[in-house]
Amino acid sequence: MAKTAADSPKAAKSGNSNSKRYAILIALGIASAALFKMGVFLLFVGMLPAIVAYETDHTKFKFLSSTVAAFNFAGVFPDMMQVFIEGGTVEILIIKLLDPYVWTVMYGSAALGWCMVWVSPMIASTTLEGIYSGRILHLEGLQKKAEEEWGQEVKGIVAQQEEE
Amino acid sequence: MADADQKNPVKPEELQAFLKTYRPQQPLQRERDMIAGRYRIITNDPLHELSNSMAKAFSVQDSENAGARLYALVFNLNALPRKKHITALKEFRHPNLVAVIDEGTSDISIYSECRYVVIMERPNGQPLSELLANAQKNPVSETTLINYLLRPFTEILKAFNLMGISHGRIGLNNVYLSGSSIQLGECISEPAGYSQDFLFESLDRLQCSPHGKNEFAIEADCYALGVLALHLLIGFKPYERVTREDFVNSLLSKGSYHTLVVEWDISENLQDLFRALLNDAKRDRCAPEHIENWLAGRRFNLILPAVAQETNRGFEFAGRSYFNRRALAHALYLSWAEGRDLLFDTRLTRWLETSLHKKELAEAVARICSNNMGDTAKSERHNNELLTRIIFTLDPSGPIRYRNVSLGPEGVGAMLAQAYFSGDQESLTSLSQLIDTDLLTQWIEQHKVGTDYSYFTPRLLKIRNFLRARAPGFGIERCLYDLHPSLVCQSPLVKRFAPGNLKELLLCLDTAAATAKATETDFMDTHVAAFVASKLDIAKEVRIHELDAIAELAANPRLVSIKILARAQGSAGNPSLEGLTHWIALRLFTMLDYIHRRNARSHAQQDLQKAAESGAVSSIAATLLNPDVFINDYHGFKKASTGYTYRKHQIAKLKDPRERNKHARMVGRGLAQTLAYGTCLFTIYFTLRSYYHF
Repeated sequence: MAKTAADSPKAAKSGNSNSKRYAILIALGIASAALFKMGVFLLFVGMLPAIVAYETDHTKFKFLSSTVAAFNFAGVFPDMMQVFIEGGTVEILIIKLLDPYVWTVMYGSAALGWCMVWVSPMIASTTLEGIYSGRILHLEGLQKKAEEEWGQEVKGIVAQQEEE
Repeated sequence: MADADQKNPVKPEELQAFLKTYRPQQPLQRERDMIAGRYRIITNDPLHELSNSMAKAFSVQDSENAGARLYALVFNLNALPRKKHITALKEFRHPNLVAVIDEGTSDISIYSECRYVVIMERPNGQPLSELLANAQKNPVSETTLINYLLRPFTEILKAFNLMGISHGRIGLNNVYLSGSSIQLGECISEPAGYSQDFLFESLDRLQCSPHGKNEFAIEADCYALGVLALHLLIGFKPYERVTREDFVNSLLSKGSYHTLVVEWDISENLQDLFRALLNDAKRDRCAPEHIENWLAGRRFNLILPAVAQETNRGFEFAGRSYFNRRALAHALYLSWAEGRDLLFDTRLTRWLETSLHKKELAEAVARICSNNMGDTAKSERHNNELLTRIIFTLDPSGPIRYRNVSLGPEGVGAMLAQAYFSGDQESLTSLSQLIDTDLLTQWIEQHKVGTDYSYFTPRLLKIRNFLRARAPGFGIERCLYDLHPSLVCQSPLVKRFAPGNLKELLLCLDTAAATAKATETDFMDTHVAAFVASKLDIAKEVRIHELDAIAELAANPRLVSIKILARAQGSAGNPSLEGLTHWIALRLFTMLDYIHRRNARSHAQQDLQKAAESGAVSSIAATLLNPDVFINDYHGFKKASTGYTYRKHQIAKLKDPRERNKHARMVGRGLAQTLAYGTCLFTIYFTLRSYYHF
């Protein structure tokens, strides 16, 4: 009961922020619809992987969703601009939607973002291992020097207890 | 050079090897069974009749006077010879007093150790105790008594009084008669009145513990002279079978004069003298000068002292009735636990008020009782103090009586020594508690009539501080040496050499360095520290101010010890003490482990060895108390240790795969994100450029 009571203001706050966010999105959608006309529809359909990524990414820094969204947008933007330049009509939208190349570019770029998120830590790990080994060697050299100069007691009581 | 030092570090075994073969350059020289190169102690000819519990007597041969009749008093190592008396009496000669000839310390063959020895003139004739025991009522005439006993002994006491000493052993066992010559025996071998026959002690001294009597009490000698004169006058020992307890009770209930004198047929003239000599009130008892006046024909004309009963209604206590305050005070001391119960009821106050009609006294006692803190183990010490105050209020002329101990202020030293050497913890505790209060100083304040002991107050305050301090050079041992400057150092390391001053002690320690198990035994124990501190008159706890930054070292007892010893060596004229310095270096070698920097430690070890070779404790002190080395090293080590711990954590973090993966994830995804943003911006730019041609 208490937990519910405690949670309720939090939930209310979260609900408020969500509704604000949706209000902004709707406002942006209306503005975009006014500017890009049918281009907005293409944007919405093309950015579906980014929306899925955003909904599934619960991490603090949102690396996954932001990376996927950025790549996804890079894939959608050229076609969206073409729809806009060519008048933003339904006809040009249908032409684009019926073109498999357009789908491949939009969703492929999103997939590329996903791959980058998956592969980049492995590359970073390999690189960091090399850097870390060098630092460890340097620090261990300093430790050895300190032991030679000050004796084993420089390790301190904590180290001695650990050894025991 | 530093590398060479590290390759050849100093080892403690080298110091130990030196000590094994060490022979002191300047050993402490003691003649064997000889004093002053002249008096040979015949150790196979003991004189039991002249021996006592503090010193054994042996006959002596004088190489310069074969006919001299001398004997030697060879003191026990923990004996308390009366040095002031010895010094004074070496210069004093009287035909009726055995003379102190010489003194010194000698290596006594039968004990295989050094002892303090006093060469004395051997008394002529038989002790009076033996003569009176053999005789069947052989009284001396009044004229003989006056001319052969009173006149010479009064001269002696008068001289003693001028010298500021008192005899304390005037009695039948210590007065010798040969023909018409009478001679008073020695008074230097025991604390004042220690073995004095109870018949010859005045009531105030009789109530003291044997060791607790005041050192200077010329009026007590006059009292003893009176009892001695009485025995000679009546010609036998009438109180031979009286027990001490009965005698004390008789003195308490009747007074000395009524107990000793009234039943004998004595001339008016002598009764007048006895009334003055055997007076229980110290202020009315005559001094040697008064006896001299009496001998010259002047009379005291004192009234007959009243019997000491103060009331007809006795105070019931411990199964007996007491009719005067003095007797009750004595009973309270003897039945201490029951006496403490009186603090919790009003019986005593009522008795003082209704039976003795002493309203002020009753109020004073009631005030003391009202301060009791309940009958609990915790409040026992406080209640003991209150009972002492009650006893003091009831009998201000008596000694200070506390649980287990009864003494005068000057008896503190001898009582403390006796309790310490006999391992009597109860008395030791009582004495420590008593010194910690202001009871002794208050007693002194109220006893300024007659002998004034106020000179002793500063000394009492001093030893109170010494007892409270816990640093080397203080404690109960310090009190012993301060109260008995003649006491030889009691440390087991040097006791057999009987060192009596700083130089002797240092030479003994130097000699002991070779024989003591230097690796296991410390060069300074509580006795050495207390002896040195006493001789140097160190009043404050010695601290190593040079190393104040390192609390662990600033109060280190071993470092404090070398500081004290260095001062002692300086004060003793800087004798070379190579054995002692090697011993110190060996014992303090591990102290250099406080220096963590290996180079600095190696240098310090070499400096320590050089200091040991110099034979100067001050050099050792300079090496070990060098603030530059220790403090720089201390701060450097602290910094190094902190750095080491920090780096250790860094390494552990770098080696931890979870940490690394976490970091890699963050870095990798961050890079991916950056790349994504870049690609996005790049696409937007080129798309817009293709349409708008900028």
